[in-house]
Amino acid sequence: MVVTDSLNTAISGMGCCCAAGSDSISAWDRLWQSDIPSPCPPPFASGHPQPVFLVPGPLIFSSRLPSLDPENYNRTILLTLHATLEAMAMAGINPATLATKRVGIALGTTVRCHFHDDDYYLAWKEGKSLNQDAMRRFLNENLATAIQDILQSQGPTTVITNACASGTDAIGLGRSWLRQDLCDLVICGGADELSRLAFHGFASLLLTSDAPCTPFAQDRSGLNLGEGAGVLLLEKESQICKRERAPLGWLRGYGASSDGYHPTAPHPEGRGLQQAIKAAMAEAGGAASDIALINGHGTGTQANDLAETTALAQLGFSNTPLISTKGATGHTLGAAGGIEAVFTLRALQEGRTFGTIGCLSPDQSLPFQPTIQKERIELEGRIGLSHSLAFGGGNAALILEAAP
Amino acid sequence: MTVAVLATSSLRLADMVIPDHLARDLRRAEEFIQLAVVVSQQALAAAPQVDGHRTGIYLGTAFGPMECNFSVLDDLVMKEPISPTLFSHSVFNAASGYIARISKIYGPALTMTSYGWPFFRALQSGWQAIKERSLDHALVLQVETYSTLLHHARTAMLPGTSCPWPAGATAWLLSHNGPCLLDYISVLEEPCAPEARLARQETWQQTEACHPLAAAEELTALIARHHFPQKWQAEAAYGTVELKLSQGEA
Repeated sequence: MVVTDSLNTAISGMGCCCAAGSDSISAWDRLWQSDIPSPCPPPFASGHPQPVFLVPGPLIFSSRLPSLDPENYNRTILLTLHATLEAMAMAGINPATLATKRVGIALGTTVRCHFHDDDYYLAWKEGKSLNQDAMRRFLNENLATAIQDILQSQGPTTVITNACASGTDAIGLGRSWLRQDLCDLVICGGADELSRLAFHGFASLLLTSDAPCTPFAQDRSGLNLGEGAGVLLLEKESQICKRERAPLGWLRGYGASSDGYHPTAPHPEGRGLQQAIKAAMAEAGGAASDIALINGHGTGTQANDLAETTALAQLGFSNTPLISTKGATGHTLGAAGGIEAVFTLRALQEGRTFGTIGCLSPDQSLPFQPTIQKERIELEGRIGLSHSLAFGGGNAALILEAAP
Repeated sequence: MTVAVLATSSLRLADMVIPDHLARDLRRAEEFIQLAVVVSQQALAAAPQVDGHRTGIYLGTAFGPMECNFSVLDDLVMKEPISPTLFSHSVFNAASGYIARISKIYGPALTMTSYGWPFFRALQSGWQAIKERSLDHALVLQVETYSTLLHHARTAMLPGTSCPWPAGATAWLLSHNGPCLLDYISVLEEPCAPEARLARQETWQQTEACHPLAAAEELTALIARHHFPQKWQAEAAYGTVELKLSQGEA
């Protein structure tokens, strides 16, 4: 693969929290050891039986941000912060030093751009006197600005609300900020907590499964929702070297596209996904044969899995391992692209991958066959593809390379 | 590479007329989506030959389709079945999906949310895409429809405020050539008090404004009058925006 990015966008740290684990290393190791988390009933009253994936255990910040009072923040902000602090520790960056850097914060979310206070909303509908603290909190909870405020950093911020591709697109946008020299360091990725509204909305679309999801499988019957966050730290490689550190890897390419086809369903042949992957590959200067691992969107819905595998087959991929990790995390919406970028880089670092969680018997009619759950594969290279598809017809793809 | 503003359009919801050719496509769409599509079509009319695969959509918004979101919440709190159409329209990027489908735009589509400078953050991303030659055209928008709840909260939090927040949308079509060159853009956003995000006290060129679409509308009006300020700067509690414009090729 020919590196065409003159700025050499390097990845100095990564972090994630999801149902598989509260940090990137333990989550990946757990899945490698076939310790698959089980989904659980949603933590709110619902007439729908669909299970969900939740992050295990409490999120603890006391050792890293002793002055932080978690009670002041919503769960999506805390999930993001948790993943960000893991990434910063990995990169050797003390949060207290951020004030001396230009820090870009590009984060994707779907759930937390909506106003969510049911009590406030019901009181307002009933014409009751309202305490405006709920509205004040809402106005303080733009995810990127809230993280900037907690870290006391300065630099460009934005929230990408591209539904299920938000996290992937946020990473692509963060990279463009580095190219423009708008910042020295970018915190990018995505996060979403489990939302009652999204849970019922997906159920209304008949996209959720009553059982643990089985991406790419013969018996797949829909997705499970989940919560989590996944964050990459991007820097110019020269800056990482100044700290006498080595990059974890590089973001070699990013591509995005629109299907222009349907409000919620993907184009049946993954037309837009093909365009996004081609754009990312062109930027990276590579071909399908350079890709050692594909971490797919793999939600477990009939339409997604067919569109995605059709796109991969038509792009000329043949024997590249294709996995989905949503059987261990659920579909974490705005977080998915961030978490899956982290898992992709982790697998490329290890030089090996587990198979698609939940896929025991693949759907033989899919044009491109996935790696099934029990398989363990030694990767033939250090470059991988992670991509996302979204409501609204959005598609985004990242080409990641692990350092040797 | 130069970046030019090829066409602009601003539209208030109160003045919106859905053209006949869009009526069928927009029959089930919410106002947020309708505004986004209609204003986009107006801007795109200046360039009927755009290559959809080389065109991107960059939509900024402060509040997104908030009323639609509350309609979904209504169903939920009343324990009614949620309308799948309404739910899919409450997702912020539904509008850019509609634009892509109706206008046959197949490039990247980014929806960005910011309480500070949503139009300018989107504009900066579109500007960069044209500058890097990764696209030939970039459709940049801000769309705001607010909600009754938000208006009530604003009145309660800012007693005595009299500035209306009209729902509307602004769209710019960027390209390599056009009558106005966008030579530079800088967007700085900062944390601030929540009340300041509702007060919207923005100042530019001795002018003050107080609603989220004001800055985008003001610049659109300047460009329509062929007035291209060499330096245009807006300041507010939530940050600063700076643009440099110049005369391009008509």
